[in-house]
Amino acid sequence: MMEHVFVEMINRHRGIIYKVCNLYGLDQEDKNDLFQEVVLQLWKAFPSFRQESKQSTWMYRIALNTAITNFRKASRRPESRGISTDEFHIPDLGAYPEEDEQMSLLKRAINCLTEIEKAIILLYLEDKTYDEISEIIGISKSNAGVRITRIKIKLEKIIKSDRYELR
Amino acid sequence: MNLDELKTAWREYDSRLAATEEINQKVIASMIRERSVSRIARIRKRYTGMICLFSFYTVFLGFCFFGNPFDFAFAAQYLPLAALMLSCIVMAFFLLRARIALNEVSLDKQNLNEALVQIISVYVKYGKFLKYTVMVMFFSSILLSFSIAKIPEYGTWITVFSALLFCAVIVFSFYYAGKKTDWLNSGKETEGFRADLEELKDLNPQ
Repeated sequence: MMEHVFVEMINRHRGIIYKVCNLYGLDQEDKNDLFQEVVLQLWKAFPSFRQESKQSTWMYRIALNTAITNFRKASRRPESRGISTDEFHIPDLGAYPEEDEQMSLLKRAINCLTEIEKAIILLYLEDKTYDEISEIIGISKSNAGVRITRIKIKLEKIIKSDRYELR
Repeated sequence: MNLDELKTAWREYDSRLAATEEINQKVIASMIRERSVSRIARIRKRYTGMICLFSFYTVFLGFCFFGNPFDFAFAAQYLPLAALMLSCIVMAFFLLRARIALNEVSLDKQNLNEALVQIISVYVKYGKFLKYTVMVMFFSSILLSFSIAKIPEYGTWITVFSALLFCAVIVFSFYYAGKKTDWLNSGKETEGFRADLEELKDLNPQ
């Protein structure tokens, strides 16, 4: 019973996990490993989820926390078998640069950000309010506002220089 | 491209993701199962490390026993050292048996429920032996610290102080080794396996 509710929730919000994996995973294998780790952490935390916050907010918090904190500590990670790329594929952001110049530019720009900045811009792009961003990331509302402004400036600079290089 | 265009590109990506196929229930279930595999891999690794460590201790204590660097004059003085060496041998032996028993459990081939039940029984069975052996090791180490004391040479206070200092070092090293090898959390590990088993029963109610 619990498993069905969990699978349903994962599927309803699969985009959240895909986005986080795409932002933090280096290659397809890395993304798949991260996906697996995020699902595990969600499953572990699922029994204690009390619906006090929105499902999406809760999922973002756990997925980003896993991506930033746990996943980067590769040396502490126990041995595990990654899910096969044959049975699973995470749709890539900017996979077809010739078709989606804007998307690949966006990907390149986001890749230049730090781990925390990536998390913040992801939530900003998702139209999350400052309240939600501060709740998910665990920073104050005013700090979230300041950081978003800084990241926007940084992104604009990156995009401009990227465009300049392309010419 | 400005930030508004950036948002447009993101929305485009979002709608593409929304159009992707639903994730297969089997894939999600297999990810949850992976946790048990990871836990077993961690235990196997820990056991291998401990076998090497206790083999080294056995050889080292063997040299101490036969070389007599503490200048023991009576047979009774040898007892704590002999007990310590023997418990190291027993420890390495039990760890090796537990490691072999865990190796025999194949999570890929067997039914995972059965494998977990088998792992829990191996873990609990050898866990008890190892716990008692560690206790014997601890007390014989404490006794050893007193048996190497030399009151006639250094006087009562210095000897007592050095013996106590040695005891403190032993307590700390046991604690540190327990923490380092996650020995202190071994009970939690068994609980983790039991929780995995319960979860698996939820996943496969048949």
